[in-house]
Amino acid sequence: MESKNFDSLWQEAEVNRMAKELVREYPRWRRRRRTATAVVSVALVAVLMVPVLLPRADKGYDLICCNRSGIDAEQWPALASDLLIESAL
Amino acid sequence: MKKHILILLFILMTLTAAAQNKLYDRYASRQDLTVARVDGFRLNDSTKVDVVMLVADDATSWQKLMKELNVSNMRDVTSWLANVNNPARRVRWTGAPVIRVVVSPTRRTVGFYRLNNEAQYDALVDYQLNNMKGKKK
Amino acid sequence: MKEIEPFEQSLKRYRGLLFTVCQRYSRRGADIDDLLQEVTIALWKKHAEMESIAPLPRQAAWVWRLAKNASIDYLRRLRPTEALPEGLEEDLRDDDTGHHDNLQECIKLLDEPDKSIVSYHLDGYRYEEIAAKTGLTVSNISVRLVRIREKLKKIYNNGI
Repeated sequence: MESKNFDSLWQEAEVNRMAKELVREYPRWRRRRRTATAVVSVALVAVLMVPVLLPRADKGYDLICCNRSGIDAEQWPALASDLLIESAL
Repeated sequence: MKKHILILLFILMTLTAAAQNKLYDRYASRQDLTVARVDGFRLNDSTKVDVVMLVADDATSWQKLMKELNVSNMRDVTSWLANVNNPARRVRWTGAPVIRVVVSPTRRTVGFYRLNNEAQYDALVDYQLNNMKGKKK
Repeated sequence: MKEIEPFEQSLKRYRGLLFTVCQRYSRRGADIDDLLQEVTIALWKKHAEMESIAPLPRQAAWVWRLAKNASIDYLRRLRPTEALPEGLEEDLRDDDTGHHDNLQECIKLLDEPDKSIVSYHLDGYRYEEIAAKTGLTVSNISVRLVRIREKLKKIYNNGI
């Protein structure tokens, strides 16, 4: 059954050929992937930086932190203001 | 790719997160004080300052705080310029970064206003002048 | 022979997935070219099973597992290459059955440009690349390959 043997041989050669094609494609894929990663990263940075960069509604402050919870945050800017004014009187 | 994005997110978080405030960090773990920071407290259209405020829980913690700041028997609101790393060490304005310390015994509160430059220094003075007009003693 | 085309389609579909798996395991010391080869052959051997899995996401997961296992098996087999026992190399060279068992031997007997075309093809070059190298058109390459295969079959079967 020489014909069948040749077909199997050819099939094997084709499978090896496909593997080699993959090997040759790999650097191209890796380059595309790196570009895609870079693009996604830049887009992500841009999206996340938008709230930081855009002018925001003026609340009179940028950030409030407190070491205790349950305290009304708005009292702090008011207190900062009162202290300044009282120290000038 | 996932790994790269996670690293980037971590870097972004640290960048966009609040800038470190050493004064706040120094006092924040104290059990006897309520410590608050207000970043970007607006003095005028173009000038903001960072403020840290300490509120003592009771008379005892207030006395302790006063001792740390090297003051005693204070009845009225008092203010001075101090070294940025040492509120007890009084300095003159020379253009270098300082903190304006404001002590209010009635409120058992100390405020630290970080002044990095002349613009902030002037703006703070103007703020006081502009706002005190209607609140004379 | 009909199996080859669906297999090639599957390989194209899961190409990115295979690259990702092999890239991961190549960091553990394996050569990525060898890993891709191993994984392709492993996939070919189980192609019939793969085709029977549906839907596609499940099939993709199956391919992922197969590629991973093939990579791990390959890493386990990595051993320093050993020289053949003395004398055996010469024995192998002298062995001539008078029948062209080796496809490469058959290819050597082809004329140009057929020899080049099939060699490039079996080396994994795409039709466009072969066309660029040989100066022929893509459709020409495609037609010639069919004829080359028939020629090779005759050479192989007749020992010519």
